[in-house]
Amino acid sequence: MSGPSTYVPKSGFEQWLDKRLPVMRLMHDSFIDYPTPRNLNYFWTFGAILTLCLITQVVTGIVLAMHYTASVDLAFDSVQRIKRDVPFGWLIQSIHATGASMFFLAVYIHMFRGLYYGSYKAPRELLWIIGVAIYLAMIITAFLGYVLPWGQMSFWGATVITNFFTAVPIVGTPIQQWLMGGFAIDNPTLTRFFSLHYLLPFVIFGLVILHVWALHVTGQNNPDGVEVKDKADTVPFTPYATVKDLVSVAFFVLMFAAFVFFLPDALGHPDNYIPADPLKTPPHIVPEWYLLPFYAILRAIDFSIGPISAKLGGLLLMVGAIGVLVALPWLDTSKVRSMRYRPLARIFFVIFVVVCGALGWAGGQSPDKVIWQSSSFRIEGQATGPGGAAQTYVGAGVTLEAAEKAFEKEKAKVVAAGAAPQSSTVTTPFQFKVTQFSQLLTLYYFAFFLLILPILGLRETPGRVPETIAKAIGAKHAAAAAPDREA
Amino acid sequence: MIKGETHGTASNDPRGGLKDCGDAPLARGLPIFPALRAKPAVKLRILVKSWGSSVANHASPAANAETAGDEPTRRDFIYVATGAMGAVGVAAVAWPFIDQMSPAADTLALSATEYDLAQVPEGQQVVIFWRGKPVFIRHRTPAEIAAAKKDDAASMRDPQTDADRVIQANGQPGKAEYLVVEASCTHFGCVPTFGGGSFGGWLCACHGSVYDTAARIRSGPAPQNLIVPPYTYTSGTVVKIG
Ligand code: HEM
Ligand code: FES
Repeated sequence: MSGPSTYVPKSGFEQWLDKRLPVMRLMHDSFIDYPTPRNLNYFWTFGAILTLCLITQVVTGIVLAMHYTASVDLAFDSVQRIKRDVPFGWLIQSIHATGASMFFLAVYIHMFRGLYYGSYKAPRELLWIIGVAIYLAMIITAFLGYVLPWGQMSFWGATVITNFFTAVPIVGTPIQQWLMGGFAIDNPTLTRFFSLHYLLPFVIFGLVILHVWALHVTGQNNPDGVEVKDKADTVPFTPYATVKDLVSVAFFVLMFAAFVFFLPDALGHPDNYIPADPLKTPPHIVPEWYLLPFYAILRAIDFSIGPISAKLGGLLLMVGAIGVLVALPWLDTSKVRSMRYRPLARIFFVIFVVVCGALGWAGGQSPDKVIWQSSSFRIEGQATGPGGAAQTYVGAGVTLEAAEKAFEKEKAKVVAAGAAPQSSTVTTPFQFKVTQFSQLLTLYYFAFFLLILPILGLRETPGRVPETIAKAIGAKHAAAAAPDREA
Repeated sequence: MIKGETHGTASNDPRGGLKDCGDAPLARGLPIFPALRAKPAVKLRILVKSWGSSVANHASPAANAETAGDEPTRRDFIYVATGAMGAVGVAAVAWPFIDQMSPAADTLALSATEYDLAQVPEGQQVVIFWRGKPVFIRHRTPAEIAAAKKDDAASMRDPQTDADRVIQANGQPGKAEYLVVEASCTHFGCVPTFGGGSFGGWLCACHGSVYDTAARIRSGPAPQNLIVPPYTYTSGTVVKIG
């Protein structure tokens, strides 16, 4: 998409260099004179924010690795030492731990942006798929990193995740033991996780280069979703995109710093301040917030489907939740790219975002937690009174235990009055638990990709898409002049 | 090789010498393709024929050009054979790098543990480590054993009788009062606690799996009973696990 190069080497050195290794030309054409659509909004600044996040994690991570000791006996203490004794260790450790959350926050906004504006559609399918690969690598990196401080959540999170593999028939357990380097999470696991945690960010780096390369071949999408047609549709990257990116980065860093300095533990789990204990499972194992939606999907499947056990079913759906993103460019049948011109799709999209948030909430709750129940528990007892007359008495409560307690009290009263209790019946109300809620949410998650987007594209009536970006902007200005007309 | 170059006109081929080596199809594009495009049965024939045709090829490059078509050459064979050897070589080099992650000899060396069960008082349990994994050794009360036996015929996800649950690795019956099971929920590996759940056995708090007094799964998401590690009694109450 970038036209002929406009780079003009100025100094003699630049000319010399340009003939031998045209890096300056590459930089100039990619980040200075690169034409960007002139209607980009702030959602297009998250790429720059993500680059910053990656660099931050790598720089702070390399520092941490200088002081960290990957050994089951020393790991926990070495992280505490970084926080307490190493000069500025408290700062750098906090940036790294908080940075992981910031990274995911930014990537989620970046991905929802792509979803809303149809950035995954032709010709950007591969760009999107490379993005999904980056996301997957980020998840693995963050999981590996979370194990390193060797707290209770580190250990038990790793136990639960590696146990996923045992759901796979036959090869599952050998794969699990191969990953752990033993029969349980132990020192061999910790040392390899450290090695891979160090490696993967550089793999991500390579993927990011491919991502940006693919982007510069197809050019950026934009909020109107119409392709750039001529020069009137674009502005040069510098200063327009550069400055916009910097404004966004400044606000992002401000929020980042607020967490680092004032809420360093807000996004972590307190149990990770307890050293790992292979004999004691914490009452409630949860992953970090950014993985909770997947955890909810995993646990939503509490029933087996034919030969597929609940455990395998949950695992397949969890993997499928990411896998479906790879297929998305071919699932969405709409010719219109941006949901700005798809009023129906926009509604389903908003529901989808809410569903993802709700899945995150559900993943953090105990699966048995009751969200809503139709009535209270009721226990009705029959007794025969002293005169032989039948008598009933009732105990009710929100939980079965409460109802039983109330029932026993009533029974004691009846007995004291000289009646003989006969039988009792329990009425259980309908209960809507976190598991059922997760099932509904999981259903919508998959339906959005597998049913709604494919069907909607064929049936909906989209709004009128402007022919060019320049015209879209013109319409907007006209609307601003006459505020009662929709753009 | 330059695509579309005609054979036998050596005029401006910088590598003039090469074209006489009987590699007619080679000049027509990537040499490996004719062999790979062919059906499997044909492929084998191609490979065998390659040997025979080589002499003719050497004798007359012109004749060779006529029969070139999808005809294989010795060069095709060499490419395929080299490729196959290369793949074997890559696999041979990759394997050590993959297998290094498997449990190491010192980890495997821990795979047997001896324990004297007499140390466990009735109605109590201890947790010992076997291969780095916690294992419950429970000295069951007669009531616990009776409760487990009573349910032998009940409907279960992973049906086993109580006697099956205390069997030794060599197939000999074990001792009903000592139950030896891995302390790892078969769902996602949490450590269940004794005394929870409605079957008098273990409850896994992680996702609510309930095990009975023979550590059989009775409700909740876990697919299997707690695993009985292989063990044998070496003498009296001394048991060797692994
Ligand atoms: C994609 C980028 C990265 C992500 C998402 C990430 C994520 C994480 C997370 C979530 C933790 C646990 C922090 C805690 O709870 O205290 C962690 C720890 C750690 N990471 Fe990273 N990391 C990244 C890159 C790196 C790099 C490049 C290195 C080294 C070169 C590194 C070295 C470490 C070390 C030594 C620890 C253990 C110390 C600690 O817990 O703070 N990380 N990482
Ligand atoms: S790990 Fe025990 S119920 Fe899930």
